[in-house]
Amino acid sequence: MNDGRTRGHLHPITRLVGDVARIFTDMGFDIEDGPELETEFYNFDALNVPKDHPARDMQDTFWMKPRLGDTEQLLLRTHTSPVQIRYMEKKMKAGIEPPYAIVVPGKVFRNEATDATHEAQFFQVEGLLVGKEVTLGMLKGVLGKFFAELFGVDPVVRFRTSFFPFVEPGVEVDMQCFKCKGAGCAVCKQAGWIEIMGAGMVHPKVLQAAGVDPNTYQGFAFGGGLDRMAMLKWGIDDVRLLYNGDLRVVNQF
Amino acid sequence: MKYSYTWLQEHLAQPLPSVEELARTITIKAFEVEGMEKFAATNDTVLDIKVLPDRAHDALAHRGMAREIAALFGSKRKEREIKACEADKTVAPVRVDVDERVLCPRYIGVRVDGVEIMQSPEWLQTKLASIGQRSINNIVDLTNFILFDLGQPMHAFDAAKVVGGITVRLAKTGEQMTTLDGKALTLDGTELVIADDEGVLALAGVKGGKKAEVDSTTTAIIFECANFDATATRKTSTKHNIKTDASKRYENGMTSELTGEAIMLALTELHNILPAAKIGALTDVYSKPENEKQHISITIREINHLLGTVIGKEEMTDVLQRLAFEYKKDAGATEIEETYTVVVPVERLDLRIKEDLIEEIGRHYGYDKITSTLPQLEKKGLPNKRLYYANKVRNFLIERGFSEVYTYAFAVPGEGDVEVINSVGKDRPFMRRSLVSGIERALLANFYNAPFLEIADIKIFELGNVFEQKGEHCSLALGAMGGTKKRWKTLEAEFGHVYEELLLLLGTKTSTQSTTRNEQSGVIEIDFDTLIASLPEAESCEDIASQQQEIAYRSLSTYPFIVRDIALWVPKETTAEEIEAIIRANAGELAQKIYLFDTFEKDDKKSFAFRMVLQSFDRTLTDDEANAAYDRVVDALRTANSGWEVRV
Repeated sequence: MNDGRTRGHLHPITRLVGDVARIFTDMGFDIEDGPELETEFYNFDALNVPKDHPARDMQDTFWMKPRLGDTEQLLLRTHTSPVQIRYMEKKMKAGIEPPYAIVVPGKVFRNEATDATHEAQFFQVEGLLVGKEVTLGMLKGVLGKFFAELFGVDPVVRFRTSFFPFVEPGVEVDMQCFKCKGAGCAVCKQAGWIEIMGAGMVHPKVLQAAGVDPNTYQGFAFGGGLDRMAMLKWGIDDVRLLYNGDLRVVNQF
Repeated sequence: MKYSYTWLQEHLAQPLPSVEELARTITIKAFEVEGMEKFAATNDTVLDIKVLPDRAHDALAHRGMAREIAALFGSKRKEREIKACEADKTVAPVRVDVDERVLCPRYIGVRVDGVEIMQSPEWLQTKLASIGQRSINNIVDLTNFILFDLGQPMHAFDAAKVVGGITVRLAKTGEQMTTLDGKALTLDGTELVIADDEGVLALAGVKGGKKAEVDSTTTAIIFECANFDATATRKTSTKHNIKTDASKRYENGMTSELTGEAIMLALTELHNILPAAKIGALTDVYSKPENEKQHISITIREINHLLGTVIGKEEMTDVLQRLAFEYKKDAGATEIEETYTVVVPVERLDLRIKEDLIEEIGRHYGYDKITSTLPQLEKKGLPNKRLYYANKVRNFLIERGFSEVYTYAFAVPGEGDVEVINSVGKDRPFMRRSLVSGIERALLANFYNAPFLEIADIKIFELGNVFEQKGEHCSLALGAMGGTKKRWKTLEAEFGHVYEELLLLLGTKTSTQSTTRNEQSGVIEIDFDTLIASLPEAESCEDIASQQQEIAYRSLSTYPFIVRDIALWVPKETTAEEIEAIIRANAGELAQKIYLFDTFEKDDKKSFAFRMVLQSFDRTLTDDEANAAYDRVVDALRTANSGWEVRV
């Protein structure tokens, strides 16, 4: 029996963030973070999601009660994408032009009914690569490498047409199921494919909002749920178990 | 939206591919097909397709979807037959005044006399039923048909209940209306309304009103076919919490050109359904016609430069033709530098900049044809400071036997300063100002699970953001709880040491810290951002100590467990493994955990104490079931060796 002298355990999300950091720093990406309590500007407006636009409905948002002295409407960030803007803005203000290569693992919040696969708080990983020659093909290559290292197989990456206001073109990223290699199994619910991320080429308006010239630079961005990846990778069946401090889960890692 | 396979076919001159192929291709290249349902009685299949806001302008209708399909499969479109009919001079034209020209770019009103309200013809009922719409009467069904066929919302008023003419204006403050489904609304003056000379007939673009409702006695109607401003419609619909098929379309933006087409189709069909009806002249208030077409100029080089594709002239021309886009080509130095100036179809409000058109070309060409490449970044990346030191601390703490937990960022009143307006559960409307409560709750919960966890004491930590009146910061909390009050005494001393060692490890002197102690447990919380503030930036990647072995995660049972301990005296030479093997062989499938938790020697004898944790995945165990497992094990141990003395 453990008498207290044996090693403790890391939370599975920490392990996954560790994997993300290792894989992406190897490729040359820096790791960044940003505030969880965000402004409406960074979370939405700067990302080409204007007020009163139906695209706002795509992310159920927790709004904060205005406090004395607040000059902006605050919210709990619904995605890690605001860090794209904060980072590019910071670099441009410091006079540092692209290339920019960052990944941002972090906690995000969505006002959704919770169940075994949905939590009001969860983790995302964001990626951003901006330069003169960045292409959608490069996004495919980078994500392919990430999935290969994370899941230990070399999966086919598939892009499906989709829409996110902060990218154009926008795609849903599927990876061929790492368990059955596309044949269909319980992990991929017989689909052969696993929906894993949203991504695309950074919308010129987003570059512009951050002060980067869209006529010179272009880039890709992606974002996906780390909880979902953890559930897939290790077969965790209830996301809520990750946030109640339960060592029955943590001590298995 | 639900789309009927046979309805889609009406808009195409060539047979559709099989439902399966259709669904597969739409899902990859256009929209996600979320469901399919076959209906044997009508020999139809209904596809549930998720159209996102960028394509709501054109694709939330059968014709729009059929046009998308035509482009995907290179098939020919088929247009519906529209019969222009002479206006009946005996029918009074509708007087339409549009006060708000910006909020209502186009309004068409037309009066129809000699209307007979009855059941819809069978084809119309079947059509609406196929996509889950209830048939109401011939007139209402006709407006719904136009909505789901072309994507243009329409409304019909009972002409006898409209006093004077129609005015499109802002509501008066405090003005009242009752919606068709009986909801009483008080308007605040920001809403665009359709009114007659007396009062409000409809909430523009959102919902019709009771005042001029079409019912079984109606003999004359006024058709409304209009375009309303996207933002204004959304604001009104949000304010009054009314979402309708009409508001969903308007709030994404529509072309005013569609209204003209839609009213002609509606009147053509009306004439077919009610040949005796007398159709009046159109009143069309269209102050700024959208007669200027949008153009986007692009070269193939630009497309390939963004996508990383090798699209050539042939592929480019093929896609443009399948999309039925008109274009003009201007010479360039090479084939890929020729400029294509594409005329954007009026309904495609999503196509405005080069990148929009690149997506359009790229997705039809096929993203599967894009080759993967890797960026050549010059150096290895670095972690941000917070993550770098957090991982250092994590590695240190797990060496000291602490396990990492994550708890909820939401807090009960009294435990937070920053409040969420629309909170997750009504009981936790605040953001936590400290990690202490979360850690205390986790200590207690894990203390009760200690037998299952095979540990005597609980030692945990959390790194996470906490929120104060102004801003937020990353906090670190350590918590420990002794298995007994006595064990806590030992643990408490170690606790202080860990904190000192942590400062030493990081090379910082002090930090803001607070300590909470109870009879059997304690929590230390440290402002992590302050702790690392004076430290240098990361110069390398501090990997987290990853245990390389495969993790085989085991699900947890939601039912309680029962503990049974087995202690026995054995000769000195007997090993724990021998005994454990016998326990394992006889404990049965309910034994989730079997482990040795105590050993001591006395004279020539040795004592072993084993613990069995019994639990089922489908029910709460009874004591009898636990006892049965225990008795089986004890019997087996006694039979195995008469020299073993089981203490019961």
